[in-house]
Formats: sequence, C-alpha cells, structure tokens
Amino acid sequence: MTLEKTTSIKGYRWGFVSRNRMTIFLFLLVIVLFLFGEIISKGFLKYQHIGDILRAASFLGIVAIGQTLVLLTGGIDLSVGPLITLGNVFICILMNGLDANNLWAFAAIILLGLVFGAVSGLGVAYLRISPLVMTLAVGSLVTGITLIYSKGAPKGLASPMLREIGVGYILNSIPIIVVIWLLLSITVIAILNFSVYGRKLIYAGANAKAANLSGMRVPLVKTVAYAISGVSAVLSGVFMAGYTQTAFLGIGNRYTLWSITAVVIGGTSLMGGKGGYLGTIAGAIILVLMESILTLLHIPEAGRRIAEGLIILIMITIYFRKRGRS
Amino acid sequence: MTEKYRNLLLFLPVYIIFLLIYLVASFIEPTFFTWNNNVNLFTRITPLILVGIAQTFVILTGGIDLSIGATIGLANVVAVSLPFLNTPGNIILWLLVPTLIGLAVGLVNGFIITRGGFPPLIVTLATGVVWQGVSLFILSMPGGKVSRGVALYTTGKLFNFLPVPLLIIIFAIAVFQLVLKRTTFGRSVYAIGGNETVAFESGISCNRTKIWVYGLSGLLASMTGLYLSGWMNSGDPLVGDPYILNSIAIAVIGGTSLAGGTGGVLGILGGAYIWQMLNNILNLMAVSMFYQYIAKGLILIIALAATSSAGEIRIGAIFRKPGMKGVK
Amino acid sequence: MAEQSPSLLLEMRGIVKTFDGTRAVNGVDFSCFRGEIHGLVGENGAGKSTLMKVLAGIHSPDKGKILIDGKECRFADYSEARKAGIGVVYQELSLLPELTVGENIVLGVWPRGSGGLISWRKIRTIMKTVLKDIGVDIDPDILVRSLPMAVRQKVEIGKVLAQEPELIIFDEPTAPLSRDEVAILFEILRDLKRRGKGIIFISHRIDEVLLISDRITVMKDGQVVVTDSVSAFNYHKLISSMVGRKISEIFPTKHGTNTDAKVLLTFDGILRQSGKRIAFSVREGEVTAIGGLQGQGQIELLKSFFGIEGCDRLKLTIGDNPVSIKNPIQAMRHGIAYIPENRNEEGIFLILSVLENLAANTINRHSRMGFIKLKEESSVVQNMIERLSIQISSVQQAAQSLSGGNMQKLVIGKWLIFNPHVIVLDEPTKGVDVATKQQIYMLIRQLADRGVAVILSTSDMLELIGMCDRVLIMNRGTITACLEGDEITEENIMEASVSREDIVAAGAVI
Repeated sequence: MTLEKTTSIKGYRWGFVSRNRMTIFLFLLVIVLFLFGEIISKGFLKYQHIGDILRAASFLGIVAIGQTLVLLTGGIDLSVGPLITLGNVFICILMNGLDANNLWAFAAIILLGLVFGAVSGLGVAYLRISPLVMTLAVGSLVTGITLIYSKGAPKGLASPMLREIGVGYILNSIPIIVVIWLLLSITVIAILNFSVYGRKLIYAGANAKAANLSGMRVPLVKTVAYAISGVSAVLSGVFMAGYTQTAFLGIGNRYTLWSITAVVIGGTSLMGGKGGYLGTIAGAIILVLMESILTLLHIPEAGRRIAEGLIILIMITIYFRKRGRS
Repeated sequence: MTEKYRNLLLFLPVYIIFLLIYLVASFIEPTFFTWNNNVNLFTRITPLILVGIAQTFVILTGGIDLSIGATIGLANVVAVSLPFLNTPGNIILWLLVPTLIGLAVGLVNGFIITRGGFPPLIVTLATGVVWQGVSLFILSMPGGKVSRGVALYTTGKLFNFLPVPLLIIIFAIAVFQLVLKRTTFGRSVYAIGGNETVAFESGISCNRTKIWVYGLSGLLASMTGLYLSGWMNSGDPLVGDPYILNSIAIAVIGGTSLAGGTGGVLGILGGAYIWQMLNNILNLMAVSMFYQYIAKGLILIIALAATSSAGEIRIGAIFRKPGMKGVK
Repeated sequence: MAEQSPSLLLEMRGIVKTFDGTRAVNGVDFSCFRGEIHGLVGENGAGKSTLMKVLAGIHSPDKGKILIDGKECRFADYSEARKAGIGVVYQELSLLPELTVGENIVLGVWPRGSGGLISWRKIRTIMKTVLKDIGVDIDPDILVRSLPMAVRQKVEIGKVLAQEPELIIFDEPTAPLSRDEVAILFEILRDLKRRGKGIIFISHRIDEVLLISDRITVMKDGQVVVTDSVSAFNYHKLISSMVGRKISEIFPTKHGTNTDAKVLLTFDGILRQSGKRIAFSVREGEVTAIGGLQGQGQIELLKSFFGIEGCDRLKLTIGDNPVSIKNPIQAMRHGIAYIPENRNEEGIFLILSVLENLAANTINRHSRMGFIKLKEESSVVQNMIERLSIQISSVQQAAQSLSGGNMQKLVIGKWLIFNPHVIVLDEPTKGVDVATKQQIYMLIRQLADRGVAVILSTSDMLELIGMCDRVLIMNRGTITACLEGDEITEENIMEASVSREDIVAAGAVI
C-alpha cells in the first residue's frame, strides 16, 4: 500500500482527522462559552449552575437524538415539537401524580411516540412523500390529538418518581437527567458507530440507490429512524414533565427548531450520510449556553430568536460552502 | 394527453371535492349557505389565497419558503407600529412600506439560497426565525392599532355590498395566472422546476428567476400581513405562524407538486376553500376547534400520498396510452 | 445546372482537447459546407463527441480555431454557440416532459406580443412553420411526456430549428427509430440541406451514413483518419478504416470456449423494451461478454440479473436450480453480484470512507447480534486493499478523493469480499486508468477460472477481443450474433453491431 497525497475534492473533506477536528473545536467552544458566562455573571461556573445548564441541554439533547438520525438519512422531522408536548401532557394525565401508574403510563407514551414516528417514516420511505411536509402534517395530527385529549387544559401531575428524575441529583451533584442523557448518548453513539443498523443508516443517507444495490432495505432503515425520532421526542417531553411537574401546552414548540439547530451545529450533513451524535451533544450544550448568556446580557426574546437563526446560517456557511459550478 | 386535459386532472378534483363539501355542509347546516356566511368565508380565505400563491411559485421552482409566516408577522407589526403610518391620509405609505420590507426579506432569502447553494428548507427555516426576532423586537406582545379607514380597504365592502376580500381574491388569482402563463418570469419558473440544467442551457437565468420568486413570496406574505392587520385591527408578531403549514397545504391540494415543475394557481381557490371550510363547518356544528388540526393533518397526508411520485405512478398508469396521440 | 461552389460554413483547424492527460481530440481539421450533409463516424472514444462538444461551446479547445463563415469564433458556453448559428440535437433529448410540445420548442426564446406579454398566437405560428419543416403535424398542446421517443425526437429537432441555426449537429439520431422513421428523418435532413444549412451527422449506422452523407470523416483515437466524398467509400472500406488498432494492452491469456465445460447459468427472458427474446448460457471458465453499440438493451439485460426491471418472463437457472429474482436482496441471496455502469450514482458512496465502501455488502456477515465485529471487518477490508493494491493513505479517507481507477477497485472489492457465484459487470473499466484496467482484466480472468460465472458488458472493442471468450452482440434489443474464439475480430464485431438486418433466428444462443 503506497501513501498517496489525497486531494480535497468538492469542498469539505470528511476524512477521519477533519471530522474529529471539528468536534474537538465544538467542545472547546463549549468551554469558552462557559468561561464567557462566568465573566458576565459570577457564579456561572458553580456546580449547581453547570448542572442546570446541562439539565436543560439534556432535554434538547434527547430529542436531538432522533433529529440526528433522521437528518443522517437525508430527511428532517418537524413533528418533534408537537410530540414533546404530547409526551409532556399525556404523561401527566396518565400518571396523575401517582407512582402506581408509572410503568404502563411510560410504556403507553413510548408506544405513541413510536407509532407517530413510524407513520412519518412510512410516508417518507414508502410513499416517497417529502419529509418536510409529511412530518409537518403528522405534527398537526399530534397537536390535534393532544388538544382534544387534554381538552385544552392539561391536568394531572408527574409521579413522585418522575419528579425525582426530573429535579433530583446523583451523588448530590450531577442531575439524574444528565446521567440519563449520558447513558442514552453512549447508546446512540455505539449504535451509530458499531451496530449493523447504524451502519446501514449511514449508507442509506449517503447514497440510497447504492445502498439498495448493496442489498439493504433502505425504506425500512429510514422508517426506523423516524420511529426512533418519535420516541426520543416523547421521551424528552416526559422528562420535562418531571422537571416542571405539570404539563404545558406548547412546551415543545421551540424544540423543533432547536433540535435542528443542535444537529446543524454538530456538523451532520444536511444531505445525509455524514455526521454523528457527538457533534449534536456539543451543539445542544452550545445552544443552551448561548440562550443562557443572551438572557444574562438582558437581550430580549427578539434578540435570541435572531441569534438562533443567524447561528444556523453561519454554521451551514462554514460546513457547506457552495461547490463551484462545473 | 394535451395540456388542457392535464390541467383538468390537476385542478378539477379540488373543485369537485369543494363542491361536495359545500353541498353536504349546506345540507347539514343551512346557515352555511347564507350570503353572510359566504362573505365571512371570503374574508378568511383571502390570506390563505395570497400565501398559497406565494408558496406555489416557490414550490414550482423546486424550493420551499418556511419563512413566510415570519414575513407575515413582520409586515403585520410594522403596519401597526410605525406611528406615521396610522394617520388616515397615509394609506399609500401604509400599503407600501411593509410591502417593500416583505419584498426585501424575500430577496435576501433568494440571494442566500442561490449564492450559497444551500437547501431552501434550512435557509428559510433560519431566516424565518431571524425575521421573527425582528418582529418581536418591534412589537413584543400583540397590540397596536390600525386606523379605521384601513379596515375598510381590507375587509370592508365597497359600495356597501361588494366585499373587498372577494375583489382581492379574484384580482390575485387572475394576475398571477397571467404571470405564470404569459410572462417570461412565469414560464421560467416552470422550466427551472422541470429541469434546471435544461432551463439553463435554454438561456434562462435560473439564479435571477429564483431570487425573484422568493422576493415575490415575501411580497405576498407582507401583503397578507397588512390584510391581517386591517382585519384583526391589531398586530401580533406571531400571527403568521399557522400560515406556513397552511400555505404548503393549499399549494399541494391546489395541484402543485412538491417536486416542482407542475401545478399552478388555478386550484388554489378550491384548496383554500376546502381548508377554510373545515374550520367553518366545525364551528357551525359546535364541534371543538381542536379537531381542525387532525382534519388538516389527515387531508394533507392524503393529498400528499395521491400526488407523490409513488402515488403518481399508480394514477398515471391509468392514463398512459401507447401510440402517437395527436400526430396525424 | 450551373455549378456554384458552395460556401464554407464551418472550419475547425488543429483542434486539440485534453482530458486528464489523454488527448481526446488530437489535432483535428474538420469542415462543413452550406448545403452539405457531413457524416462523422468512429468508434466509441474516437473523439467524435468531444469534437462536437468543442464546436457547441461546451468545452473550450486547448488549441485550434473555429471559423464560422470565415470568422473566427470563441464560445464560452452553448448559448454563445447557439447565437452564432449552431444547433445540436442530442441523443439524450433536452425536453421538459411536463410542458407541451409548443412550450418546449420555444423554451427560453418566447416570442412577445404587443404589451410585452408572451404571445401564444405567435408561438403557434412558429410551431406551424417549424413542424411543417420537419413534416410533422403534432398538436402543440400535447404534453411531451405522453409522446413516444420518435416523436419526441422530432420535437427536439423542432426546438433546435426554432432558433434558426445555420449548422445543425445530429448526434446518433437514428438509434431509437424504426426503418420507416429513419426515412422520414432523412427527408427532413435533405430538406434542410436544400435550404442551405450545414449538417453534421454522427452515427454508428454505417449503411445510413453512406445513404445520407455527401462527405464522410472517419475518426480514430482522437484523430482524423480520412475525409472524402461519399463516393470514395463503401461499406467494408469504411469499417476497416475505423478499426485496425494494435492491441498494445496486455490481456491475460484467454481460454477459449469449451463446449464440454459445465453450464453455470442460463438466461431466458423477454426484453421489455424490445419485446424480443434473449436466451443464452454461461459456461465455466469462460468470460462471456455482451457487446454491441450503446443503448441496445445491454443495461436492461444486466439489470434483470439483479432483480431490477428489464425482462419479463425471466427464467434464470444457476447451476441446475431455477431461481426467481425480484429484487437485489434476493439476487444477493443467490450469490449474484452486480457492478453498475454509473459508479457515482449507483455503485459507490462518495462521501463515505474507503472502509465503509468496501464493507457495504457484507455487513451482516461480519456482525454478531446486531453489532459489527470491527476487527474482523477491518482485517477483511485490509486484505482486499492489499490484494487489489488500492492506493490510499488511510482507510478512513473519503471515497470521492480517490482516482477513478481506485474508486472502481472499491466497487469491485466490495463484491469480491462478498464472494459471489455470478458476477455481472457493466462497463467495468469506464473512467479507469490503464494500469488499473489491466488489474481488472486479470481479476476477471481469475474469477472465471475459479468457476464464477462472469458476464461482462462493454462497448470497448479491445476488451471484447482481448478479454472475452464469447461475445454476444446485442442490436436493437436482441442478440444478433454470437462470436467465439477466433471469430472475435474487430470487423466481425463492428458488422454485427451496426447491421440493420434483423437476424431473425438469433436471440437464442444457448
């Protein structure tokens, strides 16, 4: 095997070193932002506060699991916001403040997330409907179901165990939620890098035709991705209920854009096939830090929205500069 | 098959369904059929038609505009907030300033998409949030007021019986149908959506056309924002958000394919009617308004399934006939 | 009739065009008079297409001049060439299927009426004129997508004519046409000639070129072999001037055919696009080739091995067992490998790494309980890289950064890891450098020797002669000739490929 100088063709080169370089940079950015926060507001780096930041990032990070997978297939999931709300509302109603219903309430919610995600996936993969509109439509369905079931005024309460998960700590320092996120992250990264499914997902996103001709069931792979996205979304909503104790309609609304932003910051290609969850983790923390810093700087809601939009535009410019016209 | 035949296939089903729903609704609920209710419908349909046309143009080129909701909001809050705009004499300014802002916003979208070569979905998603922020900056909570004269020109009746919304609807559809059929811009839109390489090699300036398409979308969105301000007599930075889904749904139901290159504005009236009647019917039947989300979601999915490539293959197979049709 | 010396419409002097180090066009002089039909012939890769693309402004020449009516011209793109009066009717039509005939013809040059709006009345007038010129009466409101290929081609011609060109290039126009349709087309060409246009007629159909042309130019390996008036040529002379190359590349020794060898595979089906039957068998130790001009159904034939479209009522037997293949997964289950022609779209994952590409077909094999056995996968991949001498600096390197030859090695390598019983290769050396080509030839021979059924589709003459033990020529959707051993010569292949005679009995060559 001879060593040959590799040329960078068509813009961004996704070689091993380059890929990791960006992720390292992102995590450095996290540290920089934390330090910046401390400069603006002393006490930013207190254990408690870091824990709060990471907890907020967990909610985002969990729903971004699904969004990462879906974007890796070259699609997008705009139904995550409504699904978070569904998880949030339904778990409170089903649990009704009692531990007795924990297991089956949880199972029921996960099942709902799975079903709605699968519906989106089937439409995208088998009926070849554009993911944008399909997930938008399913999102509308989900919103309606949530409103009807809660009659517009969500009742109920998270069970004590859920509340403990939502606000509690392990070893008195690390929020339980963050640990759960950590475990989920390890699982997702393991699946993406080491499992058969994860590998097929990458192939399906990189070149669906070639994947098909390599004997993979591309539509099935895609459908599973959307199903996982549905589950991760409702899961996030459930955990949020643990934190807020009661349910809120519209709690998930901002998360649709946020989850996409986190994935984009993390470097997953919008065309599919390239990227991973590690970058999304950094993206989620960066986004939460950004929001937090902007709040501390007394920048109103308006300014934060502008920043959210701009950061996407900046990131796609960095990552996906246009190839020259041939 | 000839173009006329294909257009019938694209646009007629919407109107058949619309008529069916209309008749059934009138049967179940007689008040549906009254003049007042119809005027009510016109008023509510007008913004849907405007955004439907906007989104149709964008989708025809193979793109999408998710910032349309934010542009509506931006024009809306500008219309109610800038002080000098609300004096009765300045109606021209009141019409012009937000409209130009919408146009500029759209052109920026188009510029980023063409120069950067990024997917329109993400770009308009991002710019939408930015414009939303700007709107919130101008007006952080719903409020503001519009001068009374203005309301007449958006939702009132001319000469006491001709509803302005109806005029707007007729005018908009007529003008933009003309644009699509009889202007270079309109024909270029179809060509780009059909096959951008072929369009380019035929001498069409694809980038320029696309920039103006997004500009047009922003323009129509801002006009919708103006209209809404006159109708609601107040401003709300987030008033436009539901219109994102609405505009796409109406464009698709109205016969435009998301792949681009096929469709038009002729089906938009039927699509907007169907979309709005859902609300109207639920209202009259005293059913919870929440069901509209489910109904709309389902209708959109059905429309998509019918017009997607997989669906088209099934439907098209019926009409594919061998042999040289029309050649003597 | 007084003889007027025709004016020189086009002159190309000393055109040189290089791609990736090879001279696709190497010092070519070419001319065309007004009122002349100039036939341009040559094998694939002779440089005809490149020369015409230079003329049409799609490529700019490295050296040489183009003169139109004596004036030197330089085109930056096709639009400029068009404005200078050049029109090209391509083999792959440039029509928009969702628009009508009329709209396609005036695409980009819509006539305006008073008031600045597009005048549909004027479009109809243009349409009538243009279509009358090409002797066709099509309703301008018909959507192009509902027209058959032959009619679409006429619309394409109409589209080009609507621009009122002086010089029109026709690239393989008769490929999709029946004999009657060709006659109609030729009437159109003669009419254009009468009107003083210059026409360049590129075709592989030798008999047609002899019929319609006034002069003929033969190109070979990027150069002009001969340009002369049509009366100086006959069928055989034309073919022999197109061929006659020394086989300078080294091919592994052929084994020839052996009728006693075991039959590994039989194929019997009806090609959907032609409705004709194709049947053949593949014997052990033989490299079986499907040859012929491009677009005669080879791709569809090969794809049907892999469960994609192509053939109806297909009866395939592998060994002694009949198999049914409806999709790629089933094909792979029967040990069939398929290497597609369109590497970038169908064969390779450009943005993924070398490792991921090579492992693509055997993920399940090197996994346990849903997880990939990375060490095992890595060593298998490393072995293949060494075996094929794939030039990389790291297995994590993106596939798109490799050369064409190395990319093709990835595609072949991933199938070798799969270890197939049947391997179907579609133009396996397209876009591949010479050294890699030889490695691929060696590989194919080894596979055949080891008892794998090898089916190879190529339009490269040298490969057919040098590599293959048995060549099945496809022409218009059916097998028209089966050449074995010494029969495989350039002339035989050429004649069988371009012949218009339907060899009726052929189609079944078991």
